[in-house]
Amino acid sequence: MDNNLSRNYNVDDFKKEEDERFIICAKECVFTQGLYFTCTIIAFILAYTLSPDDVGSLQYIFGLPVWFAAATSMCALMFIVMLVFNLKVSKRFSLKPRAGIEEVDE
Amino acid sequence: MNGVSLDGFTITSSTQSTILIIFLIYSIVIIGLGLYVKYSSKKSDESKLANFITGGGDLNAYEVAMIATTTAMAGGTMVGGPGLTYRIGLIYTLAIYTAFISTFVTLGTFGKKFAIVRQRTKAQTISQLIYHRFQSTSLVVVLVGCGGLFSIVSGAGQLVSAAKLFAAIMGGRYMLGLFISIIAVAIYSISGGVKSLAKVAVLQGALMLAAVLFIGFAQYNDIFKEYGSIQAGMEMLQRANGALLQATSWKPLFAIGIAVVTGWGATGIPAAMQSTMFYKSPKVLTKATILGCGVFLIIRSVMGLSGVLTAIINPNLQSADWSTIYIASNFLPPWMAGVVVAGIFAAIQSSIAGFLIMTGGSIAIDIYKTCINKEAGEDKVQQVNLGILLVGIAIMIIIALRPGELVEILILFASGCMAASYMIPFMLGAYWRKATAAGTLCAAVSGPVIYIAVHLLSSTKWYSHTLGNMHPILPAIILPLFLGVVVSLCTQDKKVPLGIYKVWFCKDYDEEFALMYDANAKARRAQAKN
Repeated sequence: MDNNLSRNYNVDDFKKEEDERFIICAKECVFTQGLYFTCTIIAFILAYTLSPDDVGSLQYIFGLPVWFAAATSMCALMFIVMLVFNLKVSKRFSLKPRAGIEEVDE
Repeated sequence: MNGVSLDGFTITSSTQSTILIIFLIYSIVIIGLGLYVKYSSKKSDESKLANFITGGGDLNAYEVAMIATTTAMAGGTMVGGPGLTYRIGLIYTLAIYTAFISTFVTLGTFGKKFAIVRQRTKAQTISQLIYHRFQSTSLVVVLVGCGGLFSIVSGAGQLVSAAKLFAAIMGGRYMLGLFISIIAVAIYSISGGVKSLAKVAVLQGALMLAAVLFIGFAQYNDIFKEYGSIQAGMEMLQRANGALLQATSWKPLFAIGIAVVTGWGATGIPAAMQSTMFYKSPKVLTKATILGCGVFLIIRSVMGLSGVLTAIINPNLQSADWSTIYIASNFLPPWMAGVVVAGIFAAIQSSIAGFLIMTGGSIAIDIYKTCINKEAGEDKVQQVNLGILLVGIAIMIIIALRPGELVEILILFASGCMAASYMIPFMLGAYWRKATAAGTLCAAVSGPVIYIAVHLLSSTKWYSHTLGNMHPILPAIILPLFLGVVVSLCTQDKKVPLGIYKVWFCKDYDEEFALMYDANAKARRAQAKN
């Protein structure tokens, strides 16, 4: 029977045959998800830590409540990291079906 | 005619007529442009349906960014979001802000991998991709079913947004507003397709951006005039309705859940994931990601705060969802108000069209053509697609006939269900080499089931006491992920054939296995021969 039809294989045996582009895709996926969840959770931790129980003691910065300004600064950070990641860090390679890691499409 | 008087504000007759004239001009231009693009691309050799749902797979960066942005940004951002912040306050604004990055999360997570595998397999929809990965019809039926059902519910939420917008302009007559919205949405959705959607999205995106900037200008201008500064306005609100300025309006685990639905959930809706099927070049991908996030950041920055600023200007609106139209019609020149209404409607229209095109295309290709009638020709599949579009619109209308007080609640519920069913299966399929069809099916089914069950439970006192009002999306992500992993590990003897595995993970693969190949059929034939 054609070997490609077999279901009895160990995925770890094919690690060496992996497309390097897919390994990078997986790393970038982890980074993307990590950035989103980390920044979002930190933003809400800041919000709940800095928001006073008594509304009368709200403090302001740039016209906004301090807790809100601090939490939204995480969004600004997220945007800057996203920009740097896309322009400088993310590996650009060909998206053709068969291509090497060094090939780049125009 | 002296204009319309609503609870909390009025719209003058000149503003009303100018808004309607500008909306009419917008509709004629958009539908004309959509038809022009459709007929000019008819000469293309490519399959009609493929063109309809992938735009030929070779759109430019601006088109990909705009289609991703305009699909994700809709009634929720322009009408429902400001409505909910008007009622709940800044904590929901924060949730909206964290969601600006959804284009990056979609394209960063799946963008490159799906672009490569799509070209290997010649898939036209994301459901075809998942079918190829797991060779499981049941999984595709569950995903397409959930995607279709909840897309329609979300689309109904968008339709309610549009209807409320026009109801305000037409003097509070909701049914008349709904009628106008249905006509405009149906003609647009049926006439175009993704190629039209992409070209029109460029114009719609520009219009939405203009609308948002006008709204922001009107609000800041009025608050500066009235109070001298934003802080003074906020301090007034602190005295009048301080809860809007506190984070504690929602409990932490509920607020984080809402943020996850608004942001992460928006990346997991089928229409947003379909944007990974529209390009071939990495340059387009990078530019589209940055452009999409930039546009989203501007729009969300203004609209996220909009409801709270409206509460400073006028705390007496009877319907919170009228926040945006109130600002447009009372604080902008009539022509600008017309542009705002056209921009809001563009957002709603493009989202509903995106949902319908995705749902129709997926059901026609992935269920009808793949499971029911394998011999169906191109025209037959196209007819089924059109039929599904019409049924989808009919169901949206039925839901929209009984609108709730806050439309955003309906939209968030549908987005949560879609995210709960789609994200984990697609992430397991794309990146976990040991994922099996059984494990992924388990995750796909359990996601929405857990979401709905916890949603129902969350209204009980027991839930509130023991789980602190935790939002349903959090267990609906964690438990299906756990189940998916455990069931996959227990069913390693039922992995996909090696040829399929290689298409998804290896450098070298067999072309025969790449082309939407039914490995089960070949295995059966081989067994019969032996």
